[in-house]
Amino acid sequence: MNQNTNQTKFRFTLFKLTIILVGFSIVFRLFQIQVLQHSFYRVQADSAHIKKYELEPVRGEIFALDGSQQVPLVINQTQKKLIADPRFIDDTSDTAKQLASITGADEAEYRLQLEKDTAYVELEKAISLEDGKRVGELELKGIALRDTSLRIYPENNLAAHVLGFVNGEGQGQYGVEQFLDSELAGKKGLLSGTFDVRGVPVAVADNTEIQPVNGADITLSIDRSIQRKVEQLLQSGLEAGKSESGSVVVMDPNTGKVKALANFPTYEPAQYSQTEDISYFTNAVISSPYEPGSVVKAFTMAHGLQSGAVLPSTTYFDPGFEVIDGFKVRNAGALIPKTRTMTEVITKSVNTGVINVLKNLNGNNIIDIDDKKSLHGFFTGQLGFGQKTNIELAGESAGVISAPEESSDVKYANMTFGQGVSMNMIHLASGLSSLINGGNYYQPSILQSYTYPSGKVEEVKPTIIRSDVISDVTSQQIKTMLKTVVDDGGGYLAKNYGYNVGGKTGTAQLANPEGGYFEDQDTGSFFGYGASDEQQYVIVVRVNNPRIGGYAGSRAAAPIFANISDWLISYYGIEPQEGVN
Amino acid sequence: MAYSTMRTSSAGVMPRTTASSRRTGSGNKRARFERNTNSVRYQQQSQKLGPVSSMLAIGLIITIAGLLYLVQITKTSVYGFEVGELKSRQSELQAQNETLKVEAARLQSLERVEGSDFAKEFQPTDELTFLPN
Repeated sequence: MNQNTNQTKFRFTLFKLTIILVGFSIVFRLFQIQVLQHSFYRVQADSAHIKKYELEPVRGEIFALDGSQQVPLVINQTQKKLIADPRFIDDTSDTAKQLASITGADEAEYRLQLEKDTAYVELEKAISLEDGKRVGELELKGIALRDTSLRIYPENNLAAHVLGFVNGEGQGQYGVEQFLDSELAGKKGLLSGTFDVRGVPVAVADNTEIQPVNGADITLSIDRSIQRKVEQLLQSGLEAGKSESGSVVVMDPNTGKVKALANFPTYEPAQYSQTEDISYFTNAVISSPYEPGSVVKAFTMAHGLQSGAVLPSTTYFDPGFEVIDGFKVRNAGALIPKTRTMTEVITKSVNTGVINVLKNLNGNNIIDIDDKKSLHGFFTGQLGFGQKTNIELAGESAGVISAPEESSDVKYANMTFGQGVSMNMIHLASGLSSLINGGNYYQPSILQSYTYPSGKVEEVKPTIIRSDVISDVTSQQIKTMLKTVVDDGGGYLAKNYGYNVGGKTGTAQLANPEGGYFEDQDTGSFFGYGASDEQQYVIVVRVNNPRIGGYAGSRAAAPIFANISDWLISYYGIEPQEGVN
Repeated sequence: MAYSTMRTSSAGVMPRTTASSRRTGSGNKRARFERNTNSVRYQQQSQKLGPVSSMLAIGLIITIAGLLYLVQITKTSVYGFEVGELKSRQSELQAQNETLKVEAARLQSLERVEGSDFAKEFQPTDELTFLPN
C-alpha cells in the first residue's frame, strides 16, 4: 500500500516535471523568436505587407501642326501585356489553345513558349483591354496580365526621323524622343506603405505617396501636310533619279522653324525592332554631314558682296581653271574661257569665279592667310559651320571646316565651291535663310511649344542669334543672283512664272571614308527659296548617288525641289506677282 | 457655547453655522464668541463612488472608446476600399478614353483621309485662279 502511494507520488512528480519542462521549452522558444530573433522575423513580416512601388509617370505626347491646329503624331495607349509562368501550367496545349482563340496568335507558338523551363515568358507585348478582360475571365493558372503603355503613331511612319522611338526600357532613342527624353519622360513617383493580401494599400496605414510628375506634351513646328507631301515627293524623286537614298528639309526662313524633315529610306517607329537595317534610324539630315558642292558658292559670293570684294556686276576673266599650290582646279563642265560677271558665276556655277572672290577678299588677287581667315570667319562665325546648330534632335554632327592656319591654299580654293568642307543640311537651310531674309540668323528649331501637365503652355519663340550676317542690300543682291539659277541655270525646272523662286545646284563627288573620293559616285544638292518678296520657305534637297546622266544637282535634286516648291506655292496660297518673270 | 450642526436634505449642501469670535482674555482655551454675529456659508461636500462603480465606469468608458475606434477603423477601411474601387474605375475610364483618342486620331490621319471615298473623287488641278480680295 505504502509502496503504491510512493509510486503514485513519483509518477505525479515526474508528470509535473514534464509539464514544467515543456512549459519552459515553449517559453524559451517564444523568447527566442520574439526577443532574440525579433529583428529577423519583423523584416520577414514587413516584407510580406510593406511594399514600395515606383509610380510611372505618363510620357508626354508629340503633336505636329496642320495649319494652326495641333494633330497627334505620337500618343499613349494603355494595353495589357500577356505573360506566363510555365511552372504553374499543367496543360500547356489547352492553355495555348484558349489564349490563341482570343488573341488570334499562333497556338503552336504559344505552346512552344509555355513548354519552356523558365519562370517568365512574354506571350504578347500588348493586347487590347477587351482581349485582356477576356483572358482574365478564363482564370488560367500561370497566366497573368500587366498594364503596359504603348506609343501609338496614328500617322504611321510620318516624320519617323524627327520623332525617333521609345525602346523596351522606356528610353527615347533618336529624334526628339531622345533629345527631349527628360522633358517627355517626367519624374517617377513612389508609393510606400502597408498593403493587404490583394495588394491594395491599407488606408489606415502610414503610407507614403509621392505622385509622379507626368512628362510635357510637345508640339513640333512640323506641318503635317507639308511633311507628308515632302516625303511622297522625295520618294518619287529618288525613284526618278535612280537613287537609293536622299533627304529634304523645309524651313521657314523668317523664324528658323523646320516645317518638314524627311529621309528615305525610312522605318516604322511602332515596329522599330523589325527594321532590317539600323542605319535606317539615322537622321541623315543632321547626322550625316557631307560635302555639298556648289551650293556653298552662294555663301562665298554673299561674303564677297558683303565685304565689298565684288559686286554682282564685277567681271573677271575665266580661263576655265586655276593653278593653286601646283594643283589645277577646273570648272565643272565645258565652260568656254571668257570674261564673266559675278552673277554669271552663280548662274553657271563657275568654280574659278568663287576662287576669284576668295582671292579678292583682301583686294590683292592672291589667296593669302587673310583671305582664308576672312572666309573661315564668315563660315564659322556668321553661318555656324563646323559647329552644332543645336536643333532639338538627337545625333547632330557638326561637320568639319579646316582652320586657315592648318590648310593649304588649294583646300580653301576648293572650299569656296563646297569641296573639302562638310556640313549638315540644317547648316545649309539656316545659312540660306539668313542670306535671303536680310541677314538674320535664326536659331534653327523644330519645336513650337511645350504643354506641361499643369496646363501651362510655353511657346518656343523664334530667336535671332545674329542679325548681321549680311546687310539688306547684300541679301537682295544674293536673292537676285540665285533667281537667275532658276531662270537661266541648272534650276530651270523650279521656274514658276509670277513667283520669286531662286536656288543653287550642287554636285560633289562622294567622299570615300577611307580617304579621297569615289570616282563614280556623286551627291546632288539643290537649295532654294520661294516664292514672293516675303520669302515663305527654304528647301534643301540632297540626293545620294543618283544613277542618271548629267549633274546630280540639276538632274536629280532640282526636280525634287521644283515639285516641292510648286506644291508649297499652292499650299500656302501665294498669289503670283505682276512683273515677275 | 453650543454650536448646532444641521443636516439639510438639499443635495449634499449643508449649512454650517459659524460665529465670529474674539478672544477676550489670555489663558482662555476656548474661543469666546459673541452672540448674534452668526453667518451661514455653504460648502460643497465631495461625493465618492465606490470601487465597483469606478471599475464599471472605467470599463464602460474603455468599451465605448474601443467601439468608437472600431467603428472608425471599419469606416476608414470601407472608405479605403471605395477609394480603391473608384481609382480602379478611373483607370478603366482613362484607358477607354485613350482608346477613343487613338481611334479618333487614326480616323483623322492623312493616310485615311486621302484613302477615303470622298477624297478619291477629287481631281487634281493644273491651274490656280486667285480671286481678288
